[in-house]
Amino acid sequence: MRTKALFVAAAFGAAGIVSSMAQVYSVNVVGYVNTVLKPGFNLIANPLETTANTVAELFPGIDGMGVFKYVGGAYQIANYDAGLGDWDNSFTLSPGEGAFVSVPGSADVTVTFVGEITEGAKSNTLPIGWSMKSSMIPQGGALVSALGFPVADGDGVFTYNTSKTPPGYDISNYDAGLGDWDAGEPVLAVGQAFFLNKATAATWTRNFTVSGN
Amino acid sequence: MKKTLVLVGMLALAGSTFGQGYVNFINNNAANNVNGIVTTASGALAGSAYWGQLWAGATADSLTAVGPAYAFRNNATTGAPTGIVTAGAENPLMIPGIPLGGAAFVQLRAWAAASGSDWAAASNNPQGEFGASNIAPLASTGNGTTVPPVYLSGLQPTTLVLVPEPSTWALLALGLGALALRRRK
Repeated sequence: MRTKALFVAAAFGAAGIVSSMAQVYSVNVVGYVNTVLKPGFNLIANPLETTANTVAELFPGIDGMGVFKYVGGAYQIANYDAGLGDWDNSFTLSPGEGAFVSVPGSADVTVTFVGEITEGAKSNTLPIGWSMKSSMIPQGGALVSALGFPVADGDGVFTYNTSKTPPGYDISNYDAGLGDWDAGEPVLAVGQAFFLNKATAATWTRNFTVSGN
Repeated sequence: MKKTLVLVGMLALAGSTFGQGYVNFINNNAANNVNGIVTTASGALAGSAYWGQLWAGATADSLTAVGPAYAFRNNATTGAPTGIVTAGAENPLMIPGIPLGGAAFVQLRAWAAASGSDWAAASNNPQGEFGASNIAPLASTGNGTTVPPVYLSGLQPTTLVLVPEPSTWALLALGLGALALRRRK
């Protein structure tokens, strides 16, 4: 999965004017992220807020494409069928979540996510056990040291590596006894999601402002 | 509906193409019922002078080595032995002979590096220090894609056995003999 992101540097102040009299603005950044999907499975995230963050809004209608979102121990699945001319299911994929996207055929597919990063504090609930997660803001880097992930003893991070032959998981386990990750601190690209096995529930908080986060 | 069936079929095909059952080889993860810390014959935690290897199979009596042996890890900060072994960057490990996401039996075998370069050498070494964990049944394994690799749930602590040297046995026999003679007198 390769990603290219572009964000409009100028603050987009038109949205979210709280009070014109008080001259208080909610300043969001808009932009786009190109994510290249490989044939087969790709574990990805929606890096930007769109109007509704629905599958139909986010992904191109390619015959045979499937989106698999892991929620509460089971998959929600949406398939695009050219015969139907539509997706057969509707659900959302918001920033901070993740899903497998299955690409049919043998050619790469580029998905362009267009949206905004809303300013302010964001929180991502991390339940005990398995969940699919991603960064809530379109930022790549080391999971803990750059992205502020609240790591704890026993946590396992499973990223899906489409560069491997055959494609498969890369795993890193955090163990307090070791005092470190057993395969190094995971590094995420913009728009990349991961399977998380959390030993203790936590909340992943970030605070995004236009001047920096 | 038809498309869903096709995709489910694709999932199965993808899994079988990618290989077979996948596991996350780490012997310590209490949250997932993995409690396989290894201690040495002297009672200390195993450290980097010890090797650990995953053995697995479709039945409890058909276990074979899965992947190479890995050195036990020391604490990243203190350097102290931890009794923990993992496949690290080579995780997950695929278990040969286990069907897509199928059930498996797993065991951790460990030995002192000084006792031999592999399990066979260490366990056949008359002065070897080695041990094997319980054999833990896994109800299922990962399929390589939509089902992530599973943990080695059910793994229990292991203490390595140090086979006494012949001279130790001889000394023990002498001591017992002397004790018996003393009692007779």
